[in-house]
Amino acid sequence: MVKKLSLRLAHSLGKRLQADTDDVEVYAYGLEIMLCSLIKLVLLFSLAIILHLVWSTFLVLIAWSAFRVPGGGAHMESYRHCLSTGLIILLVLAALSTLDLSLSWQLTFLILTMILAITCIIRWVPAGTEKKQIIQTANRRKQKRETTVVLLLWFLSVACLITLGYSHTALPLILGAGGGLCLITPSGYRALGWLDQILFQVEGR
Amino acid sequence: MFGKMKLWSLSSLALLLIAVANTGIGTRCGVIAYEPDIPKKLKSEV
Repeated sequence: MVKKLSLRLAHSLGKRLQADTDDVEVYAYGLEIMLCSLIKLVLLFSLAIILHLVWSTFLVLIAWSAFRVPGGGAHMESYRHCLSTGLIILLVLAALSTLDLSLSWQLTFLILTMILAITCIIRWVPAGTEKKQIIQTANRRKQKRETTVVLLLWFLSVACLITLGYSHTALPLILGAGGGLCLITPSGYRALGWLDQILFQVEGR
Repeated sequence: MFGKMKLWSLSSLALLLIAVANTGIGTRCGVIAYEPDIPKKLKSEV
């Protein structure tokens, strides 16, 4: 549905700007990405408002995206799957982050996420897919550097928040980062692939 | 005047869409974890 709508809007835009077919395809692609993101954000925050999880959802999403943007990671085969799975994962992480964990547990999660992040950066970043692969060494190094900068900023923020006693803000950032990083690992790819298969079976395809 | 403004707005929108499309061809994925098919014109950039 989003694809059809994007194509229709792109054709209308292309007609007004007298663009060629190739340009219309690019507009449609850009529109599809924007609309898919917008729909997901609106649904995510609507559910977060209903569940009283707005702040923690926002923080989980910030940390999740901060690592996924430079690091890449697993994708699903259809937007419906991406939408449902993404919403569930982000809201579950947001709900878990409201738990009142002791300092030792928070530090344990922080260290484990750090180890996971360092492993991901060294071994898998930028994690591509069948459709998108970063092959050039210079580009791969660039994305590794960007992810390392994100890791340092994230660690400093979380360490400061824990030290200052804002653990209710630190935990969503830790869980969001952990969730995003898990999808950069081969196990994350396998898990999403497996979920894709199950969802296709449920849909009868 | 309004015609020019309309054309300017549409061109700006087209530029924005091209920019978004170019970020979409990388492995970068912020909010969505779904990949629309990459257009022919952008495939050479991947």
